Amino acid sequence: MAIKVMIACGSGIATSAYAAEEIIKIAKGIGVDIDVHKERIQNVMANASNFDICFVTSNFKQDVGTKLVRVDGLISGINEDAVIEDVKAALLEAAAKYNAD
Amino acid sequence: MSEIFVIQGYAHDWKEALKMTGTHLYENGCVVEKFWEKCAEREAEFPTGLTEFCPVAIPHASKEYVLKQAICALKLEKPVSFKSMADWDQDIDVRYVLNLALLDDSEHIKIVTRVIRSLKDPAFLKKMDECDEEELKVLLNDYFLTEKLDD
Repeated sequence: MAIKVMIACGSGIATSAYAAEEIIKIAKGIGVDIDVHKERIQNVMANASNFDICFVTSNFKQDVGTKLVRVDGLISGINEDAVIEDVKAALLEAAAKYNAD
Repeated sequence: MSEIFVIQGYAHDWKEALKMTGTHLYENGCVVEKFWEKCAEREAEFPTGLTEFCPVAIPHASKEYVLKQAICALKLEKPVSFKSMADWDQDIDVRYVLNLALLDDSEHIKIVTRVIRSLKDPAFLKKMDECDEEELKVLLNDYFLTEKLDD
């Protein structure tokens, strides 16, 4: 079953579009199936519970009750390798949960 | 079909820079008149300054203010302070503003991907610095609107 991921940025159109492409690639690379939904940051709070992971391209830090991963490094290139590892870890963790259920 | 515009000039602050690029896009029929104000509202809430290594900002607004997909690049004669996308307490002395007028279609994802890929390459910024206005337009067209950076 595919993991449901939300990818959010300020307008839901620019950096989330790029981050989505990169996250899809990362997921493919580790053999995890994902369903991607792009969203505005403003709507993260309201919709987070419908997803397994929320990826955000800014320093949004509120507790949304769902696993939140910052991916602005994918855009700036700062600590990009570490961010990619965070993304992989979050995807694998969510996938493991599905398999356990 | 998307279009690239390049302008050069002096802005006092980030808002004025956005007004310059947004007005240029408006005058060329790519966005509605209040596009730049919408970009400014968004910028205040979710800044788009990249990094000190890549002193570029990529302001944009939602698609409902966009008529035709385009990018207006502003080469600043003097750096202008934008907030950093990653750390809102950090200021970035931005030398180029790439104002993105994006429609939500399959092409916009390609364009955003090419823009971000280009900007992550330090050699690309060096190339931008070596360009005059006319050459910059050619360079940005080549990197953002052709398939050379696609997978």
